[in-house]
Amino acid sequence: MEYVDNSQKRNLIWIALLVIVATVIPFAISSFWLRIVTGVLMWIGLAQSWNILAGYMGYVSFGHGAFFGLGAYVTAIAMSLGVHFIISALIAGVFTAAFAAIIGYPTLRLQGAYFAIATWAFAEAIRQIVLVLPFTGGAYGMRLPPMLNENFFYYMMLLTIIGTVAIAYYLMHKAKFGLKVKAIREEEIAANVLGLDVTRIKISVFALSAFFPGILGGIYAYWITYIHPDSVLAPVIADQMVVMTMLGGLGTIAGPIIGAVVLFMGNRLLWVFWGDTSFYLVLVGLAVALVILFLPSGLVSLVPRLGKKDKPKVDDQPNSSVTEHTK
Amino acid sequence: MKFKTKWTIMVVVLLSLSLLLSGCGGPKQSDDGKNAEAERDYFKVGVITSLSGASVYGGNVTRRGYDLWAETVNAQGGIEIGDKQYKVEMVYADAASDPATGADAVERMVTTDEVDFLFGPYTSGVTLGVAPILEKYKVPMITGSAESPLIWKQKFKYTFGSIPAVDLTGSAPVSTLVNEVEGGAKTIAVIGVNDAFSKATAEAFKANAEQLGLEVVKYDIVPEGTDFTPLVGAIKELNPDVLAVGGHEQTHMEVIKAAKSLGFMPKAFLMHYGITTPDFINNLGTASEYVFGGAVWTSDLEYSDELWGSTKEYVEAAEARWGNMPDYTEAASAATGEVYAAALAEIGAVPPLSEEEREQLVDALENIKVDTFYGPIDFANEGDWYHNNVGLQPLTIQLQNGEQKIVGPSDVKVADPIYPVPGWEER
Repeated sequence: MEYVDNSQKRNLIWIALLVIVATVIPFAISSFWLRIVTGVLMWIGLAQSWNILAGYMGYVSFGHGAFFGLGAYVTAIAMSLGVHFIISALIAGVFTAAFAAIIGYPTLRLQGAYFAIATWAFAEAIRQIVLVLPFTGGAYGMRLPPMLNENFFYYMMLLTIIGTVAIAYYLMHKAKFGLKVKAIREEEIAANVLGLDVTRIKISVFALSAFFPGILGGIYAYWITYIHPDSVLAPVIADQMVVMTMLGGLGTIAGPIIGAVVLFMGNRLLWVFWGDTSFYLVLVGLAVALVILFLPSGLVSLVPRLGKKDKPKVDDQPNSSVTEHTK
Repeated sequence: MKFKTKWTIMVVVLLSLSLLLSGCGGPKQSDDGKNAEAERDYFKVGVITSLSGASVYGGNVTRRGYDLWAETVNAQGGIEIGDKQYKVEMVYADAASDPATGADAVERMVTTDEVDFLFGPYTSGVTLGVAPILEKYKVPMITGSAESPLIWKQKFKYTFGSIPAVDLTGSAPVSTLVNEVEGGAKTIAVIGVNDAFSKATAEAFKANAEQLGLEVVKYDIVPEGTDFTPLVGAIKELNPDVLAVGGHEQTHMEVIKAAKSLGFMPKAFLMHYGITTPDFINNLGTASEYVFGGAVWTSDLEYSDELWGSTKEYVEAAEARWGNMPDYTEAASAATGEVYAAALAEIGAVPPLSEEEREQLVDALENIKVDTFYGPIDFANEGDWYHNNVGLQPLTIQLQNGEQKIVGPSDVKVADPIYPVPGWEER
């Protein structure tokens, strides 16, 4: 019992340390690097959101970028009507979650490749609709009033990401809800037979995984000040969420964080040093290929403690070593 | 054992973090930078454009223009300020055709590289993404490419553009077809692809047509990748005098092919950017003949300037350096440097530029009118085209015998417009 307490204490120290470092970062680094770190945070949130759906429930979506784009547009439209940014971003999150619930009702009946294609098609439909709607600026995009304060956006991203990671950790690793979700991933029919309300759980998870990208899209829109279907509704956004999560490790809390940090940071570092040619893109591609080839469970498998899968502790035994199971 | 591993990880993480923090430029580093900066005797010029991503082709076109200017200026000893010459050093960053990446790049160029001024992006989207950051740091940028009218309506103080927005250039060809040809066009159909540039072009054609009393029989904005055959078929039934298209070269080729396959020949095709590219002419052969377009610059114009001498000499230099004929974007990018040089000479500012000098540079750019091989560059100081170049005359061009000929307005034309154009079988 005492050992568990110590371990928890150490975890707390760890988290406290991270929070302190995260809080002082804006005062320690230049505005350029702060932008990069803000970008890293955004991608951690996006990858983690995708992981909630794909990693824990086993539903691979290739249209998750649409929620990011919708969030950006909802925020931009709300702000153009005079709504405060924070309220606008929250509206965006609620809107994308509700939207996901509606979209999820028919599409979550599909599985595997069919679900992936349906979500991809849904994202493309959203992109085309935004291109023709009168109040989204269509092909001209939308501009938001600039607020040129890098620290503000850093802390907004940080808060959202802490929320995303904490909720994902609590729901998927601590709460009973996580067990139900993982039951669906492992064997959906069995979960249904056991009496789980599978449809409701699936829709809740889908809505949750769309809530954070909605808010992040809103912060992005206000931060970059200009949004266009090609920048916030591009298929590459969903692709990056997928690649980051796979690179870091699917179905773990640390995986998407590591994946996002490594991929986005790596990309930007190579871009800084070899940015006058596009050779850095070849290096990024090569690095991703190598990891997938030699570390199929992601970078997280390099650190066994972080890489352990998400099985919640069902007993209170000290030292209950959780076996690492790969799919 | 477990405990030890944890501590190892923690130490590694902390070490990496401290490395990150120290490597990313604390106050000490920038102090050193300042000393080196004070001795700099050349201009540091940032180039932010699309070196990868969807717009890499266009990005390289702008880069060729900017580079040729830098190479030519340096070969002649540098920008002359007072009685001394100062060379230029180009610093590049890839905007990856993405506004967020462009914004990161500009932040770095301004804060880390401490560039004196910037050459801007190929796309309008990236331009809109980076402009607010330049407002924050008060560093001027001139883009030699972005053509969306939206940019200039935002009234960014530090952003300028040497290519007139597309809604400024669409008027000439419509006016030529209505007023300067025998029989004058009476009806027009306008189609455009739903991207910013193409849509703005189509809107400009439509607005000018309506203003000049043409009857617009059809106006359609279609998604990218549309099959044009049914659309052109429907337009054939309406039989307009002119079919105007807002798009890029691929769209133009597809529309012409669809019209040819349906045997539809209006009295004139009117297009814009893209019809002057080698691809358009090579791909379509004789079908590309007689197509009308709008432009502000062609290689057979006769302007003169101090750097190259004349338009002809610039074209020869560009062909010798890059192996192909420069288009108007490449030319505008090359001319952009001449405006900076003239403005810097006027205010007598030497590198490195202080914030005050950059402010003076912006004032000078606002008021200067520079004659270049590309034509006069004169930035507007008010209205919907704020800081866009309004010095150029929009031209009507027509492809005749595989060459782009200026056929309007009548006071500058080098050839007569051919209208109505010969049918498909008569070529």
